[in-house]
Amino acid sequence: MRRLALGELRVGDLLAQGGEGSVYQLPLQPHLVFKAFRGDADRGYLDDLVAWPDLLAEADAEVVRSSAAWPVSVVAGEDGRAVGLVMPRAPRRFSVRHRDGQRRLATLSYLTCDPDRPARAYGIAVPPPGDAGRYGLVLALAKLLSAFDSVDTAVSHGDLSTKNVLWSLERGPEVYVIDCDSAEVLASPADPDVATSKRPARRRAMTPNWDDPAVKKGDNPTLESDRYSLGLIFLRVVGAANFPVQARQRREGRLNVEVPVPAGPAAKQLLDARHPLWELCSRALSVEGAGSRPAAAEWVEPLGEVMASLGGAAAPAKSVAPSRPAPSSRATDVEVTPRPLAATRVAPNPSGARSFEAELAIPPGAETGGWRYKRAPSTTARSAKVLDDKSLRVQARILWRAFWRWWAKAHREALRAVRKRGRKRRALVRVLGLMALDFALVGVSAGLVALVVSPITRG
Amino acid sequence: MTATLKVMTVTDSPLSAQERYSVFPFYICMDISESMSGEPISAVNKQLPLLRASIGSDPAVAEVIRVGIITFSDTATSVLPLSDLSMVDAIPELVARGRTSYAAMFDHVFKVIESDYHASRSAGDRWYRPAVILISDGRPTDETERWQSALSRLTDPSWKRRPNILAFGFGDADPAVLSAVTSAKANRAFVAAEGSDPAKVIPELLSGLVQSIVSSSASVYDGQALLEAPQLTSMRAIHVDELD
Ligand SMILES: Nc1ncnc2c1ncn2[C@@H]1O[C@H](COP(=O)(O)OP(=O)(O)OP(=O)(O)O)[C@@H](O)[C@H]1O
Repeated sequence: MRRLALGELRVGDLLAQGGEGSVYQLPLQPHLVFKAFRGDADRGYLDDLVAWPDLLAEADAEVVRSSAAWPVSVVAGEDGRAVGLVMPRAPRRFSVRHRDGQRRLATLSYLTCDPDRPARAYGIAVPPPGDAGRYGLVLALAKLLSAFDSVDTAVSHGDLSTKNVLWSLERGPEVYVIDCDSAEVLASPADPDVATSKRPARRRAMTPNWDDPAVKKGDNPTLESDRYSLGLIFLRVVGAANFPVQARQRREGRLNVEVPVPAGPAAKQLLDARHPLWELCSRALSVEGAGSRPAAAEWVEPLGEVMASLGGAAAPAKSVAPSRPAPSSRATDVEVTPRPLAATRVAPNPSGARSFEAELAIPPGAETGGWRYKRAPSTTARSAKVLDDKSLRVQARILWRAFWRWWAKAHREALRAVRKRGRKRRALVRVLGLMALDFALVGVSAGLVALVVSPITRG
Repeated sequence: MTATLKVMTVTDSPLSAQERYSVFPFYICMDISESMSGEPISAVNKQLPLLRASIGSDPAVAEVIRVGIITFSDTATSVLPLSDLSMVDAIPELVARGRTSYAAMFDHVFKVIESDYHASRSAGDRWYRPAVILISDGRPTDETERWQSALSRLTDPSWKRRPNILAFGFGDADPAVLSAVTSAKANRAFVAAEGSDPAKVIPELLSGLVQSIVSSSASVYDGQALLEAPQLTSMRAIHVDELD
């Protein structure tokens, strides 16, 4: 039933209190909850919100039903004004049981905090950073968000923060998104009247540290903000790296993050800086290029592939055509690159090799994702020796590739500069410099060849 | 008007270490003098476990907040050493006794901050300026000079780790004293209305404080610690002028 009178509901115990309202149990419908608003609510807006899933294809509607507490009825008071909403309650598997026996909602914080903490403090096992389960959770979220964005009249959730995105690995990686009642139904060219964004907006502030720096204070988050959130959640959940990303973006306008990639079956592909996930993440976090952040659908395939190679139970990545294809432009203000997880222990070198140290570098000694916590025997130190050798090689390979990339780029640019008219002097200096470098390179190679060849010819 | 405390990190920050969140230490200084016995102290004992439930049980909050509980009467004791509340099994029960020595408390807080700071540093934690939350139902029973000199050591501007102090008083607490304790800064000292029942004030005060501490954790993640004094219906901010 899309509309209910408050009198028809039997409202049970208070479950939780949020900024905008109180959430109650419904003893007669234990799978639902009632959220009573504190302030006034726009009834038309809520009616549209409840009806929105009707616009979806059945498969997408099913994704929304299984992964989001999408409101199902508007509750009206005696005077006919909307006083609240009925929505599905997060299923039990989206909670964790602490050592004290109490169940609490499984927020993303269990995945973004120090990876040792859930086990040590609460007796809860979470997958280590870089684990297939973590990729799977981001994949599940990407699927939900692409369902949100699968029709012209898309919706933006507007606050995909730690406490609004719940997770479970019980039946494979799943997410469950709550607080959908602040979502915004966006205007479609075909049917502009459906848009709730034209109405006086309700609260639309994003949670601090989970907000989109491209949205000015007081402005409402957008569809692009959800795309930012997906990138941020990828960064923090997969890398277990709860960096002050936005603070840095606001302060410096630029962001350079290295995501630790643990050794494992997917390491090879993920350590390639050109892996599509790094580019997706850079574009998603971009502020300058906020308008061309990747649609959630773009994440589905690369995440599915990583899942498959990690041996996770990746549902065959059904490739969804992005409904709003974003121009595939590279982000200029954000660079997300992989870094082998064990490498920090090999080269805890804060001053040297600056170009390959993350700007958001893990402080030396940090074992996992940039977190250090009371000195405790670390499980990651186990096979340090083996890991170190491997990662040195990987590091060398990355350096080698980066050098050649730089070499090619420098030559291309020099050529272009020479062809351009005017300012010949500087271009010439550059060309001469490169020639000197190439000369040296040829010299070194010739020397190496001679070293190899001479014993052969002599022998 | 809401009082917002901006807290700067105590030490200058080398860029390489900056990316780890600094922790925000809180010291709750509870007056447990004889006058607190009975209902007031049992209200405190009923509320304190909230600290664990609200701060300790949320991994994101626990990660950046540290809380210590200090009680004072004739002497001062750390009943809960500065802790990560998710690692604490139980909050100790408090028993009221003795007089109200502010001097003993200030001296103790000074020593504890100094030693906790060095211990945390060597464990790799960086600190925001600690916050001391003083909760008292009486006036100092020691000589004015004695507690004042202890206070001035604690708040000495040349001491890098001097805490920000918030003070909450009820019962016989003296607004002028609380104002002095908070260096007469606006919105740092609060008193309950005269004659109000401590057993009613305490639950609101403590749950409000816990809420403030929880909210401050979000600001720590934003790279700048903020502490907002709780909005309490049963208490009012001491007007700065009351010092005279
Ligand atoms: N569908 C649900 N199932 C289970 N618990 C829920 C559900 N919706 C809300 N809650 C609980 O109620 C709390 C507040 O809900 P919600 O976030 O929707 O309210 P809000 O007023 O928008 O809060 P905030 O301002 O903090 O975002 C949640 O943090 C959660 O604990």
